[in-house]
Order: sequence, then C-alpha cells, then structure tokens
Amino acid sequence: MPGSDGKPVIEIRGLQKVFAHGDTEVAALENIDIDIHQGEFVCLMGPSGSGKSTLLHLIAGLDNPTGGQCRVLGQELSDMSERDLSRWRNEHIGFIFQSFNLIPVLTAYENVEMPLLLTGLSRKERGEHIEAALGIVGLSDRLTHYPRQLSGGQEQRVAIARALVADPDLVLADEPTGDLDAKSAEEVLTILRKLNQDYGKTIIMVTHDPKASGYATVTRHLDKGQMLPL
Amino acid sequence: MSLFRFIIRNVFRNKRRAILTMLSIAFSLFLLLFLLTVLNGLLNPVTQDEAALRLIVRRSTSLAEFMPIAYGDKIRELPEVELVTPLQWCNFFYRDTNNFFANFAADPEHLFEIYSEQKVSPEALARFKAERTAAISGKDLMDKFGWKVGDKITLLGSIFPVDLEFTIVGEYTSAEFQNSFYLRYDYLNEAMNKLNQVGCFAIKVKSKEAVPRVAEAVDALFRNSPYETKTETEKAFVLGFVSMLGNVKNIIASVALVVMFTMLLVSVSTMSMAVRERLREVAILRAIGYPRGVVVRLILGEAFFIAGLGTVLGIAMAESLRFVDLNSVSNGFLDKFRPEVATYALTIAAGVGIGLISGLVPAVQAARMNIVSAMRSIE
Ligand SMILES: Nc1ncnc2c1ncn2[C@@H]1O[C@H](COP(=O)(O)OP(=O)(O)OP(=O)(O)O)[C@@H](O)[C@H]1O
Ligand SMILES: [Mg+2]
Repeated sequence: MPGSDGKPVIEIRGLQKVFAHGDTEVAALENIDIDIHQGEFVCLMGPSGSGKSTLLHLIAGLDNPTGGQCRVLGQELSDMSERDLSRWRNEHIGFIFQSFNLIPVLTAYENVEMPLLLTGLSRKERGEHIEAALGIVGLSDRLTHYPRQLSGGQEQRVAIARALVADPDLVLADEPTGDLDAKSAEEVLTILRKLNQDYGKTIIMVTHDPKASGYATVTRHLDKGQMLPL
Repeated sequence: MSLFRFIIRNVFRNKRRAILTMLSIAFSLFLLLFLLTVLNGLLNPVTQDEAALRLIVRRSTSLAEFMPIAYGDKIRELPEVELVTPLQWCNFFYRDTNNFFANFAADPEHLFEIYSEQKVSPEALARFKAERTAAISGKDLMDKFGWKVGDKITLLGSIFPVDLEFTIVGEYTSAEFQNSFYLRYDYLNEAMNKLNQVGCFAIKVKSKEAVPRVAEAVDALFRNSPYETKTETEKAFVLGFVSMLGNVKNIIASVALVVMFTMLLVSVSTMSMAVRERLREVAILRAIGYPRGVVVRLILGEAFFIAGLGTVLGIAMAESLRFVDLNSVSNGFLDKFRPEVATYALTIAAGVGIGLISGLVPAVQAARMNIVSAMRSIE
C-alpha cells in the first residue's frame, strides 16, 4: 500500500493569490507552503472564503498565482503555456466539482468519454477504459442514462469516473459531497478512498464535512488564506 | 462518440431554436439567391444572335415621345440597313387593366424577318400580311388567355384611347419569351385618324460590323430636325428600359444587403446566446484538459453545421422555383428561373460567412473566458 513517504508530487512555496476587485485587493492565498506526497489523500478544510477552491485551481493550473512557486508532478506550472497546460491537465489531473459536473446532452458513457476524445485511443480502447472507470464507481448498468435520469449521487459518481478514466496521477475534488445526502456522500467518499488505497491515486479533496476527513490520510486547514500548521 | 457527434448534440440541444435559426438562414439565402437571379436577368437581358444585328431607334428626349412614321422610309434607304419596321408599344389591356402583357404595333411585312427567332407558320404570316385586323400572339399568352386561332378579341386602349377588335391569325413560338402580342401598325394608325407617328423603329442591319455605323448614320440623319433620335442596340435599349423602372437594380441590391445583414445579426446573437448558456460546461471542458483551440472548433463547428444546413435548405427552396411558372406568376416580368453559377457561389459564400461570423463571435468569447470565474459564477 502506498504510503505518504515518497517524493512530493506537489511542492508549494510562498504561494500567493491576490484578486483585484476594482481598487481593493483580496488576498485569497498568502504565503502558502505545503508538500503533498505520492499516495496521500489530503482533506483540505476551512471556513467559506478561506481560499480552498483557489488553491485547488492553482494546483490544476486553471488560474495563475500572483506570487510564489507551484510545482506539480515535477512541472513548474507558471513555466507552461496554456496549450501545454491543457494537455497536461488532460493527461495527469482528474477534476471533480461540487455540482453541475456533467454535460446534460451526453449519456453517462459519453460524459466519461470526453477526456479520452483528446487522446489517440481507438474507440475500442476508449470503451475498455470507460467501462472500467464506470465499474469502479459501480455504475456499469447506467451507461446509456442521461444526467437528468441519474440521482445526485450517481451523477457525482459519473463525474468521478470521468476524472479517473484517463488514469490521472492526481485527483482534485472541490466539495464533491457538498450537494449530496449523507448516504450518497458516504458512497462517494468510499469510492475516493478506494481510488487512493487500491489504485494509489493522490487525492486532494476540499470539504466542509468533518466526517469526510475520516476518509483522508492527511487533513489540512486553511484560514483567511493561510495554511494552519499541522 | 466523436467530437463531431458532440457538435451535433450541441446543435440540437434546443431543437426549436436550432430549427428556427436554420429556417431563417434558409429563407434569407433563398431570398438572396432569388433577388440576385432577378437582378442578373434585368442587367443581362437574354439576347439572341439575331439581336446583335438589331438596332432600336427612339426619340433622344424620351421613350414616350413620337417621331414621324415617314422616318422609316428614310432609314431604309441607308446603305447597310436591311429591314425596318415601326415598333409601337401600345399598352392595350385584355378585359381589365390587371391583364398586363406586351403588345406592339408593327409592319407585318418585315416584323418576323427582323425578329426571326420568333417562329410563325407560313399560313399565319400570310394572313397577318393580308388582313388589317390580324394579330399574332405568343404561345404562352394564347395559353394564358385561352385564345385559339380564329378568335376575335377586343383589346382596351390606354395610351391610345381606342378599343380595337382583332382576329388572332396565329401564334409565334420562341426559345425565350412567348408572351408578346403583335398587331398591324396600319390598323392602329387608321384607328388613331392617321396620326402617322411612332415611338420606335426596329432595324435589322446587314452585318455585325455595320451596327455602330448604322446607329451613327440614323442619328446623323435626323440631327437638327424637330425629332432627333437615339439609336442603340437592343440590349442597351432594354437596359435603358430597366433603369426607367425606377432604379430597380439598386433597390434589389439594397434589399439583398439588408436581408443578409439582418440574418448575420440574428445568427450571431442566437449562437452567442446558445454558448453563453453553457459557459460553465465550457469551463468544465477546459478543466478536463480541452485546449482553447478545441473549444473554438467545437463552437465554430456548431455554427457551421447550422449555417450549412440552412444554406442547403435555402438553395433547395430556390431550386424548387424551377417547377414554378414564374413567367405567368409575374405577368412576364420574370423569365424562367435559371441562376448562374456565380450566383450559387455567392449564396454559398454568404452561408459560409454567416457560419463563420456567428461562430467566431461566441468562440472567441468562450476562448477568452476565465475558467475560474466561469465556474464560480454558477456555483
Ligand atoms: N475570481 C475572483 N475574483 C475576486 N475575488 C475572488 C475570486 N475568486 C475568489 N475570490 C475571493 O478569494 C477568496 C477565497 O475564495 P475561495 O473560493 O477560494 O474560497 P473557498 O475556501 O473555496 O470558499 P467556499 O468554502 O465558500 O467555497 C474569497 O474571499 C473570494 O471572494
Ligand atoms: Mg470553494
């Protein structure tokens, strides 16, 4: 079983993100230092507005920091072009949002297929990946269902399948259980733990739910843009 | 699935909107194709080889003014003139003024030699030359009014304030236009108490090379007379006639432009709306690794697909006009619907342009959008 003692997959030093709001500035993140290692399941907690989503977006290269370094999977993200970042995300990052994750006009199968359309995989190879991913989240019997025909928990599991179908190194989840009832939330958390324990995926999950931290290997707290010490 | 299938799914996300957009593109391109074809027909009237040998003489001041009928004899004496006939636009109506058709008074001896593309049987021609009240009608006109050879009909006067009775002695056929009606000038002239005036002469010149010389000679002949003339080729004459119709050309061209511009605005705003509604989805695509270029192509593809179907439909609608008898629907104003290749090309280019611009506007918006704020805006 992968432990938390490997080489860091994420090295963050002095990371800063300031949003300019007209003439006032909001510091969403201030001087963040954190290492995250291969195989860790990090639970990121903190009050609303503390900068959790912002940190996740910077790690995924969806936004640019205003200061500091953010090295992910050995790449300094600020050195990469938009194009390379897109490709890199497609290959290495799986992203799960709180809600409205899926494209309504596509079936579960097709939603999961979306990241693979950018790869050179054949139809058949894609099919194998998709079925495996939907199998892991326990939705092998819902391939042709459209999002509106799925429950919130099932939608979220399809989103997890889409996040892992390209076999990413890093799974980022922003309040994946925020909109779910307790039972569905538990299913989703169980799947994430399985991904971490059985498939060795490094996971960073933002959550407000104290129970969720029980599934993680590490819990970190953000407050007013600062990372609290362990 | 493929990215193409994804584009199709996006197109039909909102079926009604997609279909309405396609239909409005189709209708406006149909209108464009139709107007351009009409415009083309007006600017390039069909002219026969025979027409190249023909000149039309009229008063230099206005088409509505007359000159002495005796001018015909003087013109005939010019060296390179083969045949001459008076050609008087009569503006007679049949039964009521809605039944508009072209009717001319001419010289029965030479009319059908000068207009040799209009074929008449020898018997009909013989009667036309022999009987003063004889008239010859185009085949389509015969069919339209249900006339038969031998019928006696009365036409109602307008510019010439007399109602005249005619005997239809035959019909003429032609590859182009079978909607004219010919009566004898001498019959009209007698009914008008020997007015001895005419608006136009048609001349057949002996050779193509002589055409400009004859035109110049005719006008020189009557220069400084009270009735100066203007002699021009049939094509130039018809064009002059068209411009008299109140600059139809500019009106048609501006209508076509306005239609295209309106269509462009409509499709740009429809596509922009369609994309704005799913900016969050675009953000999700970007988050799972879709580069800007692919997002742009997805949106452009969607716009092209809609514009493309609209274009095909619009051209199909226009093509169906081939089965409509435009000539009789438009009282002979329009001829058969035969758009030129360039007109098709222009219509297709307009369709592609609509697709490109209506896709490019929202595609650029989507590509420029900040992924993080797009996700935040709905969360
Ligand atoms: N695009 C932006 N423009 C301006 N300010 C922003 C923007 N994004 C985030 N912020 C600000 O940065 C701070 C951190 O926001 P962030 O979304 O990271 O918080 P969070 O911890 O995820 O909160 P929540 O638990 O409510 O999701 C907030 O004060 C927010 O208002
Ligand atoms: Mg957040």
